[in-house]
Amino acid sequence: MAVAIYFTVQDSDADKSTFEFWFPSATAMAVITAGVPAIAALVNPLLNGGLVNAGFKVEVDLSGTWGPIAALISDVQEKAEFSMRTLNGFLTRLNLPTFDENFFTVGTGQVDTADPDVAAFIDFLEDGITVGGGLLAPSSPRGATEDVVTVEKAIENWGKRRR
Amino acid sequence: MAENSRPSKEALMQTALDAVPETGEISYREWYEGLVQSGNHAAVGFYRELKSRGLVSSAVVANPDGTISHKIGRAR
Repeated sequence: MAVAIYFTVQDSDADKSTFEFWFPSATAMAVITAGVPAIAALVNPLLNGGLVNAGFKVEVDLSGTWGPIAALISDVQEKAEFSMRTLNGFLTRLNLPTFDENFFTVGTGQVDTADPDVAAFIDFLEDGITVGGGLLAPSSPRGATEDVVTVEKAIENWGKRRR
Repeated sequence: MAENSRPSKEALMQTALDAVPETGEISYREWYEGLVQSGNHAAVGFYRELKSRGLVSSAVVANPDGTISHKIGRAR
């Protein structure tokens, strides 16, 4: 069974959305614990939403660095979808809600993967992050140790528009 | 008739690679901003290509003060 680190964000309407990162069950708990604020530092610059809670079955207080107040333009329906390929060829996807549209290349539906904040996040997805004396490398949530090796696509994934 | 002075894909990729030091590493942000400020903004888009070709590698590290270091270097 894989271990998940989760973040619940909210937009200015207090609508909430949770996204998760999966890791092999053999990952040390000290590394998982230290990984929550570390991954938050990677994701925070990309989103307009406020952070409600984060953790891995246990909430971690990050209010000092990422509080619950959301930007007025935030919306949990505004997402960026990262499509990732694992070591054995499986495809897994991650949607980040309240994604800051300034990180999209103008005139396209593509995430600007060259942007420094985006590039750091993608390199984390592909190669992991060194934290707490260990390496935290994302895998797929398939229940096995399917290491993510490549981010194939990062695109705009807006929810249904209401008229 | 004016020549098309747009750099080729390979030229842009080389520009991007040249901005990575031969030895050691550089922060991705410093690499990115250096290219932008030198008028080579188009080259930053080739980072992922350089990585997929095995020409550069990266390391993302969480610092004790809560900041993130993201560094790149020539692949060994």
